[in-house]
Amino acid sequence: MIRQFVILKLICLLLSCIVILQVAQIGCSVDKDILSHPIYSKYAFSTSKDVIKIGIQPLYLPTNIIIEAMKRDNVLKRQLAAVGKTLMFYPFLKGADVNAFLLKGYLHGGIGGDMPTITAATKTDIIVPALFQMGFTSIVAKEHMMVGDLRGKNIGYAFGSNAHYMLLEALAAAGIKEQDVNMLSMEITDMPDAFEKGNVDALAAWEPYAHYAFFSSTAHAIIYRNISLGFIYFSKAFFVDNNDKAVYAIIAAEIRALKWLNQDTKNLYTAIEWTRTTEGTFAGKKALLTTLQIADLARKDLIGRAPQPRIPQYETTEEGVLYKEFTFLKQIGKIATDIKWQHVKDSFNFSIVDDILANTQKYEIDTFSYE
Amino acid sequence: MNKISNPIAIGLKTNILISFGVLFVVMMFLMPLIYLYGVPFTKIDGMHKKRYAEYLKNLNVISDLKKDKLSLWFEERRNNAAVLSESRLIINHVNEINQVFQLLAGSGINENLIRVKLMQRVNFNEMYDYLNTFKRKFALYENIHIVDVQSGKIIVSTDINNVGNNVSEEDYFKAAMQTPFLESIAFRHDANSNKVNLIITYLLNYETSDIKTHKAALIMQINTNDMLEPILETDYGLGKTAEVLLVDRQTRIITPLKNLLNAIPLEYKLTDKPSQLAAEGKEGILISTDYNGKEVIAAFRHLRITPAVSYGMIVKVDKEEIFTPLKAMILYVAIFFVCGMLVTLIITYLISASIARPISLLSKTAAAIEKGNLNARAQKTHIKEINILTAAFNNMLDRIEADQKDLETKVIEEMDKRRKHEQILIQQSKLASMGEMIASIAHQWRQPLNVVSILMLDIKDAYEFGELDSQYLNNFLQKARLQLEYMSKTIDDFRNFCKPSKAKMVFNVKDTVKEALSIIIYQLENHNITVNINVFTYEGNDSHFIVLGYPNEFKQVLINIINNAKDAILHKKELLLSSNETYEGAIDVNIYNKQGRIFIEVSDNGGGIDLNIMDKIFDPYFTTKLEENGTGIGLYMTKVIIEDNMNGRIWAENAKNGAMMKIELNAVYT
Repeated sequence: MIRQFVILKLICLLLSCIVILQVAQIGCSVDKDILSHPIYSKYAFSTSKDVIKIGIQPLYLPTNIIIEAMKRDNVLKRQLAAVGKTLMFYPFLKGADVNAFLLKGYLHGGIGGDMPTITAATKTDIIVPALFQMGFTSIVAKEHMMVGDLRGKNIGYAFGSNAHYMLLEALAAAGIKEQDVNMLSMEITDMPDAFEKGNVDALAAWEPYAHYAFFSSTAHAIIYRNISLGFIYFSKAFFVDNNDKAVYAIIAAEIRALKWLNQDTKNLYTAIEWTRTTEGTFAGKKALLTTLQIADLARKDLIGRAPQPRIPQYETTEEGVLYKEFTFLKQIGKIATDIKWQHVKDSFNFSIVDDILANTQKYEIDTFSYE
Repeated sequence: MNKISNPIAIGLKTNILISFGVLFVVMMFLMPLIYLYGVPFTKIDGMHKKRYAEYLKNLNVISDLKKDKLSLWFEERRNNAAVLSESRLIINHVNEINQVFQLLAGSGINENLIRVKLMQRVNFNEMYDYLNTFKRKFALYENIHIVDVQSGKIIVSTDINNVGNNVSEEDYFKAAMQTPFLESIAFRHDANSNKVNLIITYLLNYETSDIKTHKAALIMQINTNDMLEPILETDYGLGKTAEVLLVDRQTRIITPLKNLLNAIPLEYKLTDKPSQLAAEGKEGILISTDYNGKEVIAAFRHLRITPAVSYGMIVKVDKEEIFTPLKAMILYVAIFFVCGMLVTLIITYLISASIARPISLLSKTAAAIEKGNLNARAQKTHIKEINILTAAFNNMLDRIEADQKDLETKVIEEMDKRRKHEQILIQQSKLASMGEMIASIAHQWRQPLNVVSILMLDIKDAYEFGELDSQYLNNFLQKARLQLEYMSKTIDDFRNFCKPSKAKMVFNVKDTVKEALSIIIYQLENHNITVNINVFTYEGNDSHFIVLGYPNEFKQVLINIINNAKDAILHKKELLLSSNETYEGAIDVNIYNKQGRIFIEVSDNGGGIDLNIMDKIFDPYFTTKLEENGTGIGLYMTKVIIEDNMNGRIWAENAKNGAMMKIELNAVYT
């Protein structure tokens, strides 16, 4: 009897070990997948404490125009050097990928849409000091229709992206379940081909991909759009680790870039050319939109609408867009049910931009020096 | 000819009509369906979807145009404010004017005097003129004020009477001062004029985030009528029920509602889905229920003026109005379908009639031919193939007709041959009974010969006794002639019987039966066979025993039958010779008319016919007699005469003590 009990106990132990190993393997496989990504696997992330690593999205327009200006901002370099730091930007395909590397500790911060920002805030402690985008993510279809008409159609989307959540939200608003459409996960760079070849009837994308698909035929239509508030965010651990000055300098650089881009159309066009080059290099293809098309998008976005990247406080209230998106992500199971909104809300810092604007001379907001 | 019997067979015309009719009806039904709804699982779209997509496109384009126009207008107003705020004239003079205003206000003089004092200052007048020039140039601004942010009092205004007024309690001013905005944008509803103005507040001389350090703010009150009128205009082919709505971030209406006039702008809140989505930052088209409870198709657009300031715009049309043309289109297509179907059916009917007519004529010709009209011929038609068929059919008929005539000739010839053959057989049959006939004649002659012999002896005696006189001689001659006539008649009867009848004639069956019996009565009596003839007449009228036929042949029939009966009786007598049983042969002949049919029954008491041979007795060359007594053609010829030559019927059956032969003939007079 005792012998049988021991054997049973050993079997249970063995099964437990197998289960644990299996779970561990699944966990590792997720990380392993993103780390073995053909683009990201080539990155050599600096291990120096003096290097600030920020994940960006070169295929994220017109947001990337600001980043391209910041990359060339000599004032920023000088201000960071004064605190013993240098800044490095790592390009990613989408916000979810930025978050994956942020959570693994490879990055100190990132720039992404509201959904990835909220998702990051639910998984780790972050600080969100400034707005970075105020544009749209869109569903582009082959013809004019309502979202309800997508039932039974193939829709391309990038998993975990802002556009992905926008798509789910649009379907929900139209009373369609995920199962009612055929959602095809793909990289944003693969969407134009898939759309052109008819592999997908519609796609959920951000700029420039949404407008590229829209412009590719007069029959195409943007059938749904959702304003997407993009943010720059940092790991709270990084921020509190005596890096606040560096963060202030980075946000000041963003304000400076916005001002410089608004100062003269020539500046905007110059930055757009930088952006197009970066986009082409990263995607391995020619930039999708022309300078004028990108400029038009920029004028309707943060760059054209607001000289200051203040986070709209109203959107963090329970009537605001961010709270509703948080609730939606919870409803569809993308956020754990026990996460409180207050935790996310506390991630938003409304004072850093105001502090910088109150000390424009200190942060040299009006000093423009771009390489 | 075998008739093809098919209860569900239908005519060619009906067949063509149904076949093509069904085909055309299905086509006529599918065509409008495809026209309206396209082909499923293909990229072929129907008009319904195209019109629907066209309308959505129209709605999208108009909504985008309106949004762009509104966005541009906001941008221009913001730019105006930015340009004014950066004006060197304003920046250079505003601090000084504000200080003077504060001094005057602090001195306790009334507002009118403050205005007079300020008007006396050059820098104030320059700024006043500058703002009014700006106002006149754009013709949009109700008022442009420069306000001291601490007190909220207007220090410069395009309307001098506003100088000194306090705006610190105004909502837009409070909102602008809550946070250190560079600019604030808000709508304001004037209950008195029921106008909605846009207020842009732009802080001047900003250097810190502390509003207390801001000396002044620019407030521009903008009349929105000129801006909103074209935006709210729906005369773009959107429809009579189209309406454009503007809502703020809390979905409060900015513009008055078309169907709810008492709804106050910036107070009345819309709760429908498109309004909420538009205010939240979504754009698209949705079917929803509007504030009026009506189902609408609504395009919703989001205007993000600044990160913190946004509006929603809804362009909506009653769904019913949009779908009414589509419904009308479906109705017209349905009417077209029904009319088209009727026309198609009529045309199909005419075509089927045209195609079926030649075949129908051919069919009728065939039916006429089937009924025996071999002269009927199919007519030529307008269809080449049918004409070929008609020609072949007619040729075939010609050949059939020729063949038939040939056949008829052959049949007649064969019939004639057969008739002759039958005559020969009949004669042979008569000859077969010739011996008995001669015996009968001899018997019949014996009596008159005896009489003549006696008469001759008598006349000899009379002569010898002298009794012969002329009277006696005449009496003798008369008696002798009677005997000779009797003998002559006997010879005539015999000769007539032997002579074949050449043509049909009417004759009395009863008399003919008696005549036939008279020929053979001697043999019967010679064998002690009694013959009873029973004629059942109706009120003594013999006319209903008249038949059409061959009397001599008929006598032959009767003699054959009676002879057979006699033979059967004799055979039975022979069988009974050794026994003590008494037996007397008897033959009964019954003649009667029943319902226009004459029946002659000849029955005997000779024992009957063996049932095993009953169905063979009329076969040629079948006999039960010895070879020298029978040829086997007697009853066969009997049947031929009755049935083939006289259209009657003869059959045999067994009666009580013997056989009965029954003859049935058509009476001439019924």
